[in-house]
Amino acid sequence: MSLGLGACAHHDTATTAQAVPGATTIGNDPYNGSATVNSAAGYSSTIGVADPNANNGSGSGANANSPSSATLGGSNSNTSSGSGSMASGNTSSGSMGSGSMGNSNTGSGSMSSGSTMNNTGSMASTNSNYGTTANGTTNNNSNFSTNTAGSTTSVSGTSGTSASNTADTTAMTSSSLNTNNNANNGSNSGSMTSSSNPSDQSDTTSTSSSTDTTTTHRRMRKD
Amino acid sequence: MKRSLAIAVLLLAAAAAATAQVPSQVLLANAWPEDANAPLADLGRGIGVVFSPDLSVPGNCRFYQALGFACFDDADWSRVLDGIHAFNQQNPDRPITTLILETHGTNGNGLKLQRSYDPKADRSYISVGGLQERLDPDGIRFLILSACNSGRLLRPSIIATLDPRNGDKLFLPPTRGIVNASSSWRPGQSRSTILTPGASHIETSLAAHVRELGPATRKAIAAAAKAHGIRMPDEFAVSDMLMQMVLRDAEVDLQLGRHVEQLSGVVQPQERSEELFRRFTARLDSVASRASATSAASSAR
Repeated sequence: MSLGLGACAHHDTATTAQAVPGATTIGNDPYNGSATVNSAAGYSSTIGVADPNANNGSGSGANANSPSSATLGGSNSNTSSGSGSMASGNTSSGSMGSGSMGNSNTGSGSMSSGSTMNNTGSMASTNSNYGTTANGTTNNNSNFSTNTAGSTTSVSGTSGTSASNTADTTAMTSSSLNTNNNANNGSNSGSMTSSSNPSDQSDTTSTSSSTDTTTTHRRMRKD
Repeated sequence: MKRSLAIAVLLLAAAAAATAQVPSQVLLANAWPEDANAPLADLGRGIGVVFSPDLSVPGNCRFYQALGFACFDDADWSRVLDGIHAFNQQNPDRPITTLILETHGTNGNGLKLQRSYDPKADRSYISVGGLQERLDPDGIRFLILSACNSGRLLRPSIIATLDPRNGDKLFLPPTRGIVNASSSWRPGQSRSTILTPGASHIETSLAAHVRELGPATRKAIAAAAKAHGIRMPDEFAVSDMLMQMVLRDAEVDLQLGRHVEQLSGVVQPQERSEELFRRFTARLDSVASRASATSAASSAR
């Protein structure tokens, strides 16, 4: 899944700032320049929390730090739009551009067309996307892998609307949900092999019941 | 128009009876004319469907009503007949002219509606003659029997009056009665045409969920349900035969009512039903998508 990420520029004592151009002082002058902020080992940066201008713009706004190339490390918060990438432990409530999303992230924004959600374990356990998944977004095969036992992974569009359904049709075309209690609100041509996986939308291999361990419908004889 | 079509079919049948059967597609085209431009909400216009409650699912009729069918789901034939009469009285612009019976055939011993197989459950039977006689005044012109061993229902010995002592274990107590034709009714005098599956065997239905349907279909159903003032359905039951008719399937096998004596235990494999279901959902989605595209184009203009 790709995320539009707006990077930001607030730092605290646990933050090491690098590549600060011009007269920009990260955290003090939110309007100029760009910066890459990396947490020092053992620390976490919360970017944009203290700086009201940081992370809340999109693209060219305050301290947006060129979202197209921004990288957020662990435990950051992003509320802007962009197309950077997110590593583990991030939260995105903005729009996601064409970047990628790593492990343990939460996205509540929208995923735009052409976005890619990383597969190799990226959605294996605790990632969630509750935003709108746009048509053309790609969720690759291993998003919902068999390694997600006990996970709370879910992908949902706006259930019941044609827009999100259409988007999800693309998004979930090759996904499979193999663990209990995964909610699949998109179309899924993969398999749902465990019990209690509700499918609110079309799932070409699911059953009509809430338990999808079989691939057939209940049949009634009219004798 | 309908009546002339029915007469044409009967004449065609009479002409062909000695040598060949009327093609199923011809029968279907008369009983259920296809409107290629009809929106999904009008798919079942003019068609009534009667479900035995134990062959139905909760809210089943809402699904069919959203598709434009008239739907009846009751274990009491008298109430169903009254309902059909009332529907046509109240909907003179879209009366039921063809009735599809998603009921039990009781091994060919009577059209059965029942709540369950519990001997004490609500249950009633009707003879084919009784059905024709009661529905003639309501303008029903085609009766499609999607019931097991339906050819046996047309046996001369029971077409007017059922035999409650037939000894069949499926003929459970008629707790809600039996409807037979009157003593004055004679086979062939009704204006309705009986259609049965070409092979008199075990018919089946699938229970499915609306969420299995495509996005366009669900959207269309939701809109139709809202327009009709009914809640969005969750589940539905659909028979192989109904799916074939909706699909205009080349293998749909209908014949003009002709009685058979032999009881059949033949049932089609489940995979065949599943394959029909996949095509059925695709068909609904195609109709819904086409209507949506047409609407969008109109709006653009």
